Amino acid sequence: MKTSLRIALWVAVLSVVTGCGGDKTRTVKNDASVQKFEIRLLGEKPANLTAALVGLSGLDASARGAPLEVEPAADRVDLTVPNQAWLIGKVAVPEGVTEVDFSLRFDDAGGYESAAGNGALEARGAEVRWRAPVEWLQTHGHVVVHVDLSRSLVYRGVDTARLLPNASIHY
Amino acid sequence: MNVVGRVASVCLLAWAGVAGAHELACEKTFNGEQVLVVDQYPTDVKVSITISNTHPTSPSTALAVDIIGLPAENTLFTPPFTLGVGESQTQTLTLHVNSYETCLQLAAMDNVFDATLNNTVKVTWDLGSAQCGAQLICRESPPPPGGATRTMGFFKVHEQALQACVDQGPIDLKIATVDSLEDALGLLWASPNKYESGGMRSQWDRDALLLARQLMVAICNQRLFGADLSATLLEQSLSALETTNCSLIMSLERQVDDYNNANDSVPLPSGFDPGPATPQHAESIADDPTSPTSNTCQ
Repeated sequence: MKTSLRIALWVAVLSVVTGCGGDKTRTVKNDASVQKFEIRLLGEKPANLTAALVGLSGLDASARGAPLEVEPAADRVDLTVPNQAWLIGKVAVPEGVTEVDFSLRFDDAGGYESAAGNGALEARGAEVRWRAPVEWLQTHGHVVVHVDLSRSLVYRGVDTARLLPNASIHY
Repeated sequence: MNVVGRVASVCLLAWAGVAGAHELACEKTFNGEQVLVVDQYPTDVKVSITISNTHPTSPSTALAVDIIGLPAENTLFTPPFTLGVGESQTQTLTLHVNSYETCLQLAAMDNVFDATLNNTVKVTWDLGSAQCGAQLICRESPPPPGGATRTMGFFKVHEQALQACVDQGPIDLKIATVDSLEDALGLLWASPNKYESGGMRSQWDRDALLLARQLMVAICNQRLFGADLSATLLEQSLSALETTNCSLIMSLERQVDDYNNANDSVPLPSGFDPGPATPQHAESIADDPTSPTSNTCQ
């Protein structure tokens, strides 16, 4: 059997097992030409933090430089709330778009509280950017930005921390 | 690779992502720190990026490594590459920072023209990506003259200090007059995008809020710490809030923000007690004094 034929058979088997190439019915759709995907924000590994209050100043999405419609949701969140993936927006992706560029910007300042003390959370310039293939967004109809709090707050002095988002993007 | 091969690769990749849940993490530092303040010149700064496989049982492949902030870092890694369980790859380079001006040139590489370089690394694997960052902050040596300043974040969480500022009299910011702690906190905790009622701010309302809150902080720095706030910058900012020139408003917002950051490391005047930091309480009593306008950016 030729190699390409073997691969084609494997693809067929995997398509049956995984649904690869089939219709992604979990995707939110308003109409046939636009798919909507949720964008969520989750804080994890808070250690001794009891509050990490951050504001969001911008959530943008674009495809090949052209802006996509984003319906905003929560923009003031506490990243220490356990297992709370905050819905921060929904992006409308027209048919034919294959990749979406996201930019999530934090407001300049927030605050933190912890067993060791409280302080200001300086987030000037803090941003998470990522590129998402639409195929990945279709996996569960959403993307979740996980912010590792244990690595994202850099303490400066007794009552100040800087927010440098160490984040991972999951679909 | 022919079409069948490419299709197979994509599907295998997607399938592997679902089944294997590969995962990578990265760490970015300047001289081993996530935040490095440079205030002595000339100096060398060691830049380090480590990419690690964090999946407990499977190897992970870095498909792409993207850098924001320092173009020289783009050649440090040659993806795709695979890391086994527990493996990592570290690359370094050295920056020669000859002067404060050189440092500012580096800081501008993130396309924000301030004194801070936000340097970000993105690593992408099948069905996910990770981002890490580090900051390099340029400081003049010696610090510019003038009293101590504190940032918006400081006043956002130190109610006692903000109360002491408000106690010195109402602050006319054109879009609102602040005459209580609740108003002052309301301005600082306000969402740039929305009003408390849930309605969206227009572009002008948003930009004006951003300038007004920095201006209030600057006035508090002047009132409480004797910081040297330029009368010209103050007057220009107040005048700008009576125009619809949003480019000017945002340019001044950056300047006033820079002023509020400039002497952040200078100690507060002896005897001044800013009180404890109470962010949750401060947010809970904040009452946004702004309201929608009909202004539109020109």
